Amino acid sequence: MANNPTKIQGIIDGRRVSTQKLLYNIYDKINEGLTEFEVEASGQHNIGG
Amino acid sequence: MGMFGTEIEIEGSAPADVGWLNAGADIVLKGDGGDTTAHCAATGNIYVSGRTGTRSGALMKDDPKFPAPEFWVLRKTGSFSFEFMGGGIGVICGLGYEDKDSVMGDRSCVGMVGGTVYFRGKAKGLSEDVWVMDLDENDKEFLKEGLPRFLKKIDKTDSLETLSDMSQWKKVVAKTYEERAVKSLIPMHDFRMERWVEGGIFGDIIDEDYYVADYVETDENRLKYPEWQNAHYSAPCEYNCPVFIPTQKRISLLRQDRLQEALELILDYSPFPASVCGQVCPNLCQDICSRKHVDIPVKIKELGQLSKTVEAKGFDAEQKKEKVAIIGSGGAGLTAAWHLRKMGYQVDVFEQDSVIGGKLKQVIPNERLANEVLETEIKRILDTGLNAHTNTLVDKKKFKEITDNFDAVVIAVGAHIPVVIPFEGHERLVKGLDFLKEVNKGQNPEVGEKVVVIGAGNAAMDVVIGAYEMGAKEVTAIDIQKPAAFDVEIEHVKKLGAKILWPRYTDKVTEKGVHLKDGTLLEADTVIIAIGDRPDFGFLDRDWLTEKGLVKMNEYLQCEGNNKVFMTGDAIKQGLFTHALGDGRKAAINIDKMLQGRKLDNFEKAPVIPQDKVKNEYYHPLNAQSVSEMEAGDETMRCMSCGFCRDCSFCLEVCPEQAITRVANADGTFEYISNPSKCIGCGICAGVCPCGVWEMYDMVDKMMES
Amino acid sequence: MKVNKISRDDLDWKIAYRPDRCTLCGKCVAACPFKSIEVGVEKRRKVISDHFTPEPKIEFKTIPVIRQKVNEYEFCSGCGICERVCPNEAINPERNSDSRLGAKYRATVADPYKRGGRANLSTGERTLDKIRVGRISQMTDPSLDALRHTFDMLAPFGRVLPAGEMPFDIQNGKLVMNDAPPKVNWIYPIVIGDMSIGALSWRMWEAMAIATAYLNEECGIPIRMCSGEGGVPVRLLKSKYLKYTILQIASGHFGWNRIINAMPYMQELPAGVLIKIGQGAKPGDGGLLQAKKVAPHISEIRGVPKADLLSPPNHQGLYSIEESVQKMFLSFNAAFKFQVPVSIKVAASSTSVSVYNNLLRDPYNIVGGFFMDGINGGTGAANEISLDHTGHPIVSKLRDCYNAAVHQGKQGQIPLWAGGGLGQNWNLAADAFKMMALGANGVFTGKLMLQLAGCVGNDKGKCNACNTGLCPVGICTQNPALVKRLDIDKAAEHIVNYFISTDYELKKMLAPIGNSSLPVGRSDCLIYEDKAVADRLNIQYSC
Repeated sequence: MANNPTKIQGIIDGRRVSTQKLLYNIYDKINEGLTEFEVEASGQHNIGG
Repeated sequence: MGMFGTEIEIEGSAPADVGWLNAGADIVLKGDGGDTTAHCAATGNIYVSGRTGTRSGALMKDDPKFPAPEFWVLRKTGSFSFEFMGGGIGVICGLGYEDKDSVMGDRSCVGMVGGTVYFRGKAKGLSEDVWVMDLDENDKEFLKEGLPRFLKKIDKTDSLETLSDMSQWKKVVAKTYEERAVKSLIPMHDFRMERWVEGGIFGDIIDEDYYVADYVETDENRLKYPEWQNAHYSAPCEYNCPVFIPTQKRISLLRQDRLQEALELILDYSPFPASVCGQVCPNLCQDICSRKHVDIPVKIKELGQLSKTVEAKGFDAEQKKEKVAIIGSGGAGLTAAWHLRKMGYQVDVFEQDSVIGGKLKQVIPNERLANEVLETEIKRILDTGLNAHTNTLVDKKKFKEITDNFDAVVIAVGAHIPVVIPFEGHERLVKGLDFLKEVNKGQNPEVGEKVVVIGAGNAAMDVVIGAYEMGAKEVTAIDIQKPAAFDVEIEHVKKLGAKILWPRYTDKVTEKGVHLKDGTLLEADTVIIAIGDRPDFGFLDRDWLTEKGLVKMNEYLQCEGNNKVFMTGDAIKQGLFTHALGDGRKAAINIDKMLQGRKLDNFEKAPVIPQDKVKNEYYHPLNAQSVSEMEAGDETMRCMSCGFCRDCSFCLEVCPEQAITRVANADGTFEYISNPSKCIGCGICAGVCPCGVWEMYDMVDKMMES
Repeated sequence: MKVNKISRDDLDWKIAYRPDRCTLCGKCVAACPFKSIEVGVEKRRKVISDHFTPEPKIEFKTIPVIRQKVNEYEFCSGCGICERVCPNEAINPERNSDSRLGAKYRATVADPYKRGGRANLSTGERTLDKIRVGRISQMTDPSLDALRHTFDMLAPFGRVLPAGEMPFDIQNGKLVMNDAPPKVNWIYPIVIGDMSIGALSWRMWEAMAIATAYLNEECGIPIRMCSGEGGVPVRLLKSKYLKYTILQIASGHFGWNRIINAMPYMQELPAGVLIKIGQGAKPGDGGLLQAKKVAPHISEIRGVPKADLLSPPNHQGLYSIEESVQKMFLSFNAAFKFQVPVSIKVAASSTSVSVYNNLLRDPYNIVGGFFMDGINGGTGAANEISLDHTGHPIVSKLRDCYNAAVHQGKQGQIPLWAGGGLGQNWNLAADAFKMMALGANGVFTGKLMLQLAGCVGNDKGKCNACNTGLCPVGICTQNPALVKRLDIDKAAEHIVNYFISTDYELKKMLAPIGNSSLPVGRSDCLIYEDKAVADRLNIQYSC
């Protein structure tokens, strides 16, 4: 596994990503086999930021 | 509608209902038909060269007295076609629809019960009421004969070759009545066993066999189960008796004609059955006797008297080398000595007085305790081979000598220091204890005509009796509270003429008598105080005593100062003779346990049987006169044998499942057993048991706790 | 006997016993789980004279008999098992119209009276029974045949987007979906539920799960069962049948540890998640599982020791409707990657419309349904005061919510599901049909399932001992000896058979009004003979 956590952005192009979308982004990465994440959240539910 | 002989030909398409209720006409439709074409057609032929709409051929029928109706369609039909069809023949040629999903509309043949529909091409969405089958030779013959006729009618003979390939045809027939009636659903049990989660969804956490129980079951599936629990509870008499004498067992032996054993049984508890049970004891056993709920208590007192002359037995067993010293020869000391001798110990009794017997001998008036009875019983004790040392004062030095030389010591010194209240003139008081001792020793202490006794307990009542005996004419007992003496004692002195007054508070005593705090004077020539006595522990180290002057001890009656020294009787707390007897027995048993290296007993009693378990409904009440005329030995008739099986076998007879048997053991005892494989847990045995021996237990609790 | 001692005449049920018919076979006393009857002996004494002159003669008999127990704890519940097992018609419970038990119990025990069942007051005629299907379409529309026609009997569990909000785009002249729409499961319009493991015996719960699977797999009736709040057996979670199960989360959150830990092993997704806020039988109260029902396996599944298990009246972390949407809905949607729809269940209340209006906004498209439970819902244990005196009838409330959605043009977007006493008069199809015509997308049923399985209780105070842990038919108990009485196959079979009948009966209602799909909102087909009720429900008044 990668030692460097995968980055997930809570803001893309200056716009906040919805909780659902952000979670989908994480699911996609999980499906790729990744397990460590660094989430730059922006008030997404249950994640914070 | 059209009858036989009618011919209708339509050039071009037509709206709905062509051939509706056709009753014999030949109808040729050279175009498309609307909805419900050939609807309800019952005979005759309908030929359509195009398509038809919804519900075409619906409800077609076949009347056996007419040729079957035929309904020929060159292209296709709409939805719900041949709905509820009951007979006749439909032919859908599907021309031009070979590559479509269906040549009939959706949900066709719904409710079809008869007839045949031939179709060429595919069919989809047919109802479940029908089968789709390949053609047989008759079918092929029908089509080969019919197709040219049909095509000729609609001028499409050029399609004959296309339509004549029989491999492209199939037919729809209705399921038969029987086929329809077949229930295709799989039984639930099979579904669970074959398709459901294997072993059940709770199989990993619950042991489950899916057995289906009846409301009434045996064994583990019962809701309750019975147990024969003989003597599981204390009988009320036994519970209330400080010596634990089980009267119900004594009577049980009598009932079995084991008279001698019955009379001897009491000696396992008390060496004073006649003196104490039979005379001085207020018989707490009788106060609580279940029989009082029927008529009057069993005559336990009289039963005690019967054991007066029973010979001591069981003293010839192996003699042990350990020695036990007993200080004091009253009820507690002699009882301890009796039991220790019975167990084979060497026993020495040290008595300060010149006679053996303590207060039983020293202070109880003869009319309450016949001297002859007491002497008989004391002799029985002395004959067991103990060493009695009278006129032997135990002081500190002697006590040390005793504790050094004996393996165990029983302090049974009683209470011999009368309590005096220090009001004015207290020095004028005669002490009740001294007075009684003088009476019993025949020293005839002097009393005046008028006597006032301060105190109204049982000892004070003895003083009253003594005073009358010594010549008093008028005796009054006073107390600051309700007299503590038993009713029977109070009744007795009242008969002698005594007055008992309470509450009365003594202010002072003068030569005139007792002056009360309310100012009245009770004239008296002699004033005797009898409000209790205290033990004399002068022979013990002060360290052994509490600040109140009592001996520090534990629940096993052992002195904290030295564990091999045991306390008993009034030396612990002033009580009844029976309490002293009880303590003597307990001390003896615990000394034996101590010397044998076993755990000591704190003598907790089994709980007293709940009153409703003893069924008084079985007993017919007897009036007091008949009872008083009965011999004590006949009390077997009246004792209700609380918690102790009377062997009546009522349970055995009443059990509806015949689950109960009586087992006679080799040692002469017996028991009743309920067979779990027969018992349904109804509780009838427990419900009818006169003695409350059968107990029902909840299977639920047993299972839930496990 | 003293004045304040409870007497036989104070009890709800008196045991009628005929000693002349009794053979003392013991079956009644063996079968009664409440220990309300016992064996005792009676004294019969007569002093008579049978001579020509007075001559006393004593006739004395002691006779074993069956007796009723008279106290505040073992009183007869009227279940009638004694009567069922008696071969001689010698015993049966009789309703005592002079009962003072309600007063005696409280005066002696100083604790609220608890029981199971439904509201026992006002058991008269129900509104639903007086609603008739009055519009028959035989002439005005093509009517259908219930037996032979096919019907589309599916209801949505999940957030339904209106066509305009579906995430479609046109690319190269073709319609393409550029985002996943909210997950909707189309299921049978009757949901079984939501009764917990613990409230129910394991056999009863499993029988419902089996019946659900059977109806789906063998009968083509796509019914779903809601787990209730008492956990879900791990074996079910890992089986293919999980797809027929709606998981419940309530304020006690019992059993969710096992559910979450089973997620990696799930072969199928559950049919849904139902967040339980309240229930109709005891609104404002949480679940109450009394300690006597907390058997070892219940402790295990729920993850708590033997004790009275009270679910709090509120979700401890929720303070507002908005928050509930945000927190519970999003969390449980996210738990299954938005592939399992999440709905919410509340007790019907005067304020239900506000709640529903609030949910209807649903900016995140995560509210998959609104379940409303009316006052006649059942329960395994509640304070009687809650059962009888709190709650709101479901009929008008369902109608109000539907009308509120219609007013905003949002009907059907957040499916409405109604329950609470449906099937109370044994006809679930009629109740379901009428509720749908009034605007429900579907209905849910609980207590009726138990009655199909063998429950002997009713809504007039008979039995109602679900809370005691002594259910005489093994349905609401964890006592192995009692659970064994329940035939799991028969219980499942009766539920299945009932739904096969119900399915047909629903069609019998659909056919005459000419609907081949569910009649949601078809209130034009309903009539009522009471003007006030007709006006309140906005249906046709007929007389």
